[in-house]
Amino acid sequence: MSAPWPQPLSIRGRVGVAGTFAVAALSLALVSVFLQQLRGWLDHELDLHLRAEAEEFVEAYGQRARSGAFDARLAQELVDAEEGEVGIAVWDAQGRLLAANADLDAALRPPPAPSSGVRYDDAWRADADLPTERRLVWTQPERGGPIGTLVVASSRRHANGLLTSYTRLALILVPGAIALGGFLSWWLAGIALRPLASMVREADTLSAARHDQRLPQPGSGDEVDQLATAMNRALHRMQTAFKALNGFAADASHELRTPLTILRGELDALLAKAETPASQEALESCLAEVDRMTQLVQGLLNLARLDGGVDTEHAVDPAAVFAEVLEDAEVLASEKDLTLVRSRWESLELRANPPLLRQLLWNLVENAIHYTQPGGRITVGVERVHDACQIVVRDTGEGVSPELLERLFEPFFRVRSDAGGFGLGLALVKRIAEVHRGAIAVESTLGAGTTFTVSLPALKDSAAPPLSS
Amino acid sequence: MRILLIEDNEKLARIMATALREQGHALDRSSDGVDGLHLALSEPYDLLIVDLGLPELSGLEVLRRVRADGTRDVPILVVTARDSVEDRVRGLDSGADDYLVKPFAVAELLARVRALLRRGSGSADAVLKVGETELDPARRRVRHAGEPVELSPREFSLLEYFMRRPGVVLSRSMILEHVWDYRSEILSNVIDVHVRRIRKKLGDPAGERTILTRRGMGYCFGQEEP
Repeated sequence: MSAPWPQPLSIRGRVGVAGTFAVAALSLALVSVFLQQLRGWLDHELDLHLRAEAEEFVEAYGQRARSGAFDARLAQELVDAEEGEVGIAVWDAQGRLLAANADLDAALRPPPAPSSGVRYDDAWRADADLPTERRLVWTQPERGGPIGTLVVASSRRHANGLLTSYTRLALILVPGAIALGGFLSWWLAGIALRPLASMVREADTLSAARHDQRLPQPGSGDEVDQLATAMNRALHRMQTAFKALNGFAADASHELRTPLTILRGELDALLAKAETPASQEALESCLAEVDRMTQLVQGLLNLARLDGGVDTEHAVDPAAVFAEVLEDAEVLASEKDLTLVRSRWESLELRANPPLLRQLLWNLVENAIHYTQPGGRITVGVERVHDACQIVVRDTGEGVSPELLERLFEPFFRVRSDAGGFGLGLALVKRIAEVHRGAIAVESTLGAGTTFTVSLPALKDSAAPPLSS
Repeated sequence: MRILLIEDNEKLARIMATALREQGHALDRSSDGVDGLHLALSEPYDLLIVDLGLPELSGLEVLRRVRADGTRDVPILVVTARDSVEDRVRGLDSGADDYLVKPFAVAELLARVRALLRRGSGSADAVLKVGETELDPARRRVRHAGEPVELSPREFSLLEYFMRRPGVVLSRSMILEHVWDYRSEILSNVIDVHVRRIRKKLGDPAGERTILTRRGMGYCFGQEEP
């Protein structure tokens, strides 16, 4: 699949892409909710700690203060005694700093207006988040109390460190999860679609020429089974219609044979007794037409018969089967001053019906001889190309214009109306190729020649050396 | 010679009967299988001509019963509209000696009748000798007037077919059926070319002593025997 977008993706690919996106969205949402929660929880822990410190300070101050007036010295003493990484600052109601330790810058900044932040017990509030620190502000509820506002603060270093390492972990895990999710959906889709893929392979092996073939039905009753059943029903209807059509062609051809015989017999008898050259000529013309009709009936029967099922299971080497055909063709070609040469002539093996295979090559070569001017050259080759046997017939004839090229294999189509025959030869070749599970292709250049290539599946274990090249 | 024709189509039967009688044969006609079988088993015919598509009793059944009788080594020519290989094999397996597919020319019918009445003789591998020509089927060698002749495989098969039936006119379709296994209208030209080449190799380019042309009928190796 080297083609870029907008190449439509397979179902499996689409499921894989959808799975990748779904896992990505889900894991990003989970990670962000988790980090948010973790952050809140860490803040809460920090707040509890800060509150305990602050309450401890207030309690210690309350126990040791002797008068109602603020004792700045005592406050400073208690603040300095504070251990750990908690900063404490005491402000009066007018916004003057009364006592503070130097541990933390945040505690030294003036407290914000009382209206902002979260309150604890209607007195504590968490200040707006500073990225690296957390502080709590406590305002003494009673007016005129010894302490105006108490600010406790702590570094968020630990909390931030924890958040950072969790974020880092998420940065590693999330892409991993996305990749895994994408792969898993692609893989699971592959498993789910496997019956479908095998059905595609089975359907590919159905030959256009074998109407009795059906897809295997798993019998599992699932969607794939239903699809196989539906396709088999369609195939059956096609087979019935095809049979009716071909049965008609075959019956009609057979029914025409007896009257044609009678016609011939009567005309022959009349011809023997014909008295004038004119009546003799007329009778001969009638006989010629009977001959043509006979050929037509035969041609139609040959075509119809292929649809009735033929045995194509003989192991044959086309190079050997074709030897006699080439002998006849050489005879015919030399009569018309044409050169018939073999190009590649490899010995290989395929499953086929030998008389039909001979008919196929004969029709192609006969066609080439017919449409090539004297002095021309016809090349015939048999070679293995990958798993296929390619039968190539190339002429230096008049060629066929591109717009007529694809019609060459239609029954009754003739490039030249004066060419004789009924235009059934190449139609027969195509049908023969198809009943052998093969195909035919044609290339042509006007005035330069035409090349027919028949590809038939070859047997794999036939590595015979080429006879000549 | 006495011939029984079992053919249900009145017109066709009349044409065939007229032509055969003109050749001097004594001809009996029957238009259905039961009656035809009865005649075939009760009269000493030299040849039976049986259409496969018969009313009452099918032609194949007539063939089988005539052969089952055991006393009848009479040659049987089958006439049929069915010409697939399977049909042929079934007909020949049932005891037919030759198989004539409709539509056919009267000359074709006569040629086949003649060939059947003078059935080829000799074992398959015996050296064939007609006039100055000798053909050894086992060694695939041909000598003419004592000189070895080089023939292609196709030419050899063709000459062998001719030499097994010396003096019998062989039609193009008989030749095609015996020597070729694919059909094509154009093949009759190929027969002509092969015949010309064989004649040349046998030192008879004009076709006066070996393979003779019988206009409108076919070819004959050596003079036609009466």
